[in-house]
Amino acid sequence: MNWSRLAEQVLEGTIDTFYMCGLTLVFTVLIGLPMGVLLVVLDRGGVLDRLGGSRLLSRVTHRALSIIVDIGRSLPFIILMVALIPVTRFIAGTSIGATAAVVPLSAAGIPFFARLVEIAIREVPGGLVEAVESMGGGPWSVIRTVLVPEALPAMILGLSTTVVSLINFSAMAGAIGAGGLGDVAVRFGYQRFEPMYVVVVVIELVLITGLVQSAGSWAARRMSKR
Amino acid sequence: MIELSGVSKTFPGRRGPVHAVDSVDLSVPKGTIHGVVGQSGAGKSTLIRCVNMLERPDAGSVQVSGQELTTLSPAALRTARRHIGMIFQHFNLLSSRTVAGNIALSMELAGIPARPDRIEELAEIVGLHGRLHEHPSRLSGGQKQRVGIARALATNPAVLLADEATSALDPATTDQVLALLRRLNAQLGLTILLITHEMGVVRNICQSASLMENGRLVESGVVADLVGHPGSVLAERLFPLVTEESPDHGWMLDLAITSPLPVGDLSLRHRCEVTLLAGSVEQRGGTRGRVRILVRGVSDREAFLDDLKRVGAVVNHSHGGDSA
Ligand SMILES: Nc1ncnc2c1ncn2[C@@H]1O[C@H](COP(=O)(O)OP(=O)(O)OP(=O)(O)O)[C@@H](O)[C@H]1O
Ligand SMILES: [Mg+2]
Repeated sequence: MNWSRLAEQVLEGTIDTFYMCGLTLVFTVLIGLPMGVLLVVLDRGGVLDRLGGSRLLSRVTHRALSIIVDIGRSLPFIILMVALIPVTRFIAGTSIGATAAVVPLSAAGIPFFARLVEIAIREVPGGLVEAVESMGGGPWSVIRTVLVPEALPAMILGLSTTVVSLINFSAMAGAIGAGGLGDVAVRFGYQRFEPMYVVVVVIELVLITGLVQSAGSWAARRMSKR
Repeated sequence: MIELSGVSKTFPGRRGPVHAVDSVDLSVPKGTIHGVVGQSGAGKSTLIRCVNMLERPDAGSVQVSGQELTTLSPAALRTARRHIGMIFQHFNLLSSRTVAGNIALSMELAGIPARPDRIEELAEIVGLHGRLHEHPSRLSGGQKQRVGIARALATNPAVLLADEATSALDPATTDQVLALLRRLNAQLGLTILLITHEMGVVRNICQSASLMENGRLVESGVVADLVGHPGSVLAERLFPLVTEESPDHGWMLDLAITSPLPVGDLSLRHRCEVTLLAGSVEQRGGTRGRVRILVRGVSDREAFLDDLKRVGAVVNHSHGGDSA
């Protein structure tokens, strides 16, 4: 058992995992948050249910978004990853490596987070929207002053759940050449039969998951001074 | 100040369309307080939401401060709404903001700078000084409604709409909030349209009132005048006569009064016994209310009735013969 080599490999895997998940998280929030908001406001009875004065346009946009999100959520990650290889090549120039893995990871993370954002926003009492409308606020004001701030604690919780899922997915990405902790566990622990690698990676993942969840809960609690 | 005419709103329902508001005409003069009462489901909320177009009427005209709202573009409507404040049964305060932040909200939305001294001043007006930096969750119901009122007043509206604004409050707190509304009406000349199912609220602060049933205003009028209308359901509910049983002999009269009833004087002049059985009388800038009296031993009923008319009492019901 070569402990220093193990430490080196695990550290490298950790860095790769953090890099993949960190970069993916940026896209997930930047795209998933607006998507989640749109899923609520474009829906029947939402503040944008007449996009540009047209009920049809809202319905169609909402449907399209909803279908995209459902597809992204229903495909097992491993299949999504394989199916997206051409897209990944097109965007990242390659389908192998940590950077390339960000494409399928985002494709899984964005819809996941978008649904959680949607759920969080639907919990905001309708009376608050009405209050802002009664004060002369338009759809954008409603989103900016009510929907997002009031749903923020729940969205933070959703974000930590998303991060945990991303770490989970990234391990699978690792199995097909993206590097990261999953790669370390499979390559050394499984293929070369060194169970210590698996044990260390499992412990690390459990710790990271716990840490992310409690950081999320703590932030949400702090924010929701209710 | 608020002029509704022919306002109708129909919702599709499971068992056919629901005429939530049905050809309603309503006029609330500047600086007055009007109350709309009615049972649950009568359409009161839908009606008040039509006033600021939160609910767009299917037909009719809605004018506030002389401006027709039904034909405005969405942008113009948003501007118009800044002059129509609204307060709610469940307060609808943002939990993500402090009291000051909630008061500032209406100013932000109206594009008015939310200066701290102005927020301070508003808090002072509604009696919330010193609580500005707390979150709404730390406040009592009455205090939350004060925040709601301050928020509504921040843009200097001419009109305040209140949908069951005191229904979530206990009686003592209700009285405090009503006193605040009455003060704002007197000091700022604020026109208030309020919805309630509590007759006490109407008795307490409304100059005029309407009764709503199945989407229609079945009765409407100045509270002091309603009392004098024989058969007025509103007057009966505003000033209820609570008696369990009627006496088996004697002449029983239900009277609407708009000045104090000189019971002793009537008794002396007609040499009869006048007993007060039940009553509900208010004295607030004049007397109004209803009483039930039992008269025994009167010889000339006509003269007695004439005398009642002379003292400003209107007979709503009369019952029973005079056998004693
Ligand atoms: N958005 C809506 N869609 C369908 N039906 C509605 C809608 N809003 C109100 N209604 C119906 O219109 C009628 C009047 O409702 P409204 O809320 O105005 O009554 P209300 O007098 O305010 O009652 P409450 O005292 O219980 O608040 C009810 O039958 C209600 O079911
Ligand atoms: Mg209602």
